[in-house]
Amino acid sequence: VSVGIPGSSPSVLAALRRDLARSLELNTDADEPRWLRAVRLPFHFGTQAVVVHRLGEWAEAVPIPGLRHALLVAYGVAKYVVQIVTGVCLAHRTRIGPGLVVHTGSGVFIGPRRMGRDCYVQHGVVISYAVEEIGDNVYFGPGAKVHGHIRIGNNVHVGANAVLARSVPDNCTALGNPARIIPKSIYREPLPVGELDGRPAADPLPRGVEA
Amino acid sequence: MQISTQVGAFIRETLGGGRPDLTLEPGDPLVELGVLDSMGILELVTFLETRYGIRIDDHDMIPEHFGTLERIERFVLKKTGAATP
Repeated sequence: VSVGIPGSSPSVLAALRRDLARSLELNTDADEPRWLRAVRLPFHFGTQAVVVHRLGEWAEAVPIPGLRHALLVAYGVAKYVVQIVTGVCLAHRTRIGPGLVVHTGSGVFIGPRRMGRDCYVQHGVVISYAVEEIGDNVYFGPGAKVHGHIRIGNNVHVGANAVLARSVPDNCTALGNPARIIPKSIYREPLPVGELDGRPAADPLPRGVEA
Repeated sequence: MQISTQVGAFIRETLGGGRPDLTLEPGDPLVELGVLDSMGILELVTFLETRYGIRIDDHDMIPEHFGTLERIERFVLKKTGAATP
C-alpha cells in the first residue's frame, strides 16, 4: 500500500490499522453501538499518542529529504502537544510492532529499543530507555515500572505497580516490588463470568461486612 | 501439624477462589482446581517464606514445587533441609 509518497513505508500503515482495530476493541465500551465507538476513538488519549508515534515512523521513512524533514518537524510538534494533553510519551527511537494499545493516558513513558506486536499499556507505565527489548503480547498493568538493561519475553503480564528490573522469560507474570517472576504454568487466572460453573462470580464480602 | 495441612488451611482461608466450603486433599491439583491465581501464588510464596523461614527464588517457581499440597510440603522440607533422603 502506497501512502501517496513513493518509497514511504507501507508497514507503518498496516501497523496503524492494527493499532486502531485493537484500540476500537479494547479502548471503547463494548456495550455501545459500533458507530458510536468509532466516533469516540479519535478522542481517546492513548490512541492519539499511538497515531502520532506512527506519524513519526512514517515520516522517518519518507525518501525525499526536504519533505522528510518537514514531516519530522510536524511530528515533533504533534508529539509535544499530545504529550502535554495526554501525558503519554512514546520515544521516537522505539520501534513498536503493530497493535499497540495505550489504554489510559497520564504518566506513560515508553522508551525501549524495541517493542513487539500487540502490547498493551495502562496509565502510569514507565519503561526506561535502558530496556533492550519487549516481546509480543506483553501487558503492562497500571503503574508498572520497568528499568535496566533487560529483555522481556513474549506473552508476559507485568502486574499493576510492579517494579521490574530483571529480564523475564516467555509466558511469565511479574508481580510486586521488587517484582517476582511467576511462570503462568503454576497458576490459573480466574475464569471469566459465564464459565464460573455455579461458583460465586466475585470475591465474597469479608465476614461482618454487609452489602 | 503437617505442612500440607497448614498450607491447605492457608489456601482455604485466604485464597480459595471464594469457596469457603472448599476441601483440599494433599494430591489435588491446585492449578486445575482454580484456587491459585497470580496474586494467590504471590501470597502463598510470601506465606511460605515467612512461616517457614525459607527463601524462594525464581527458579523454584515450577509446577513440580507448587502443583499440589504434597509437592509444596516436599519443597518446603527440601528448603528447610529437613527432607528425608
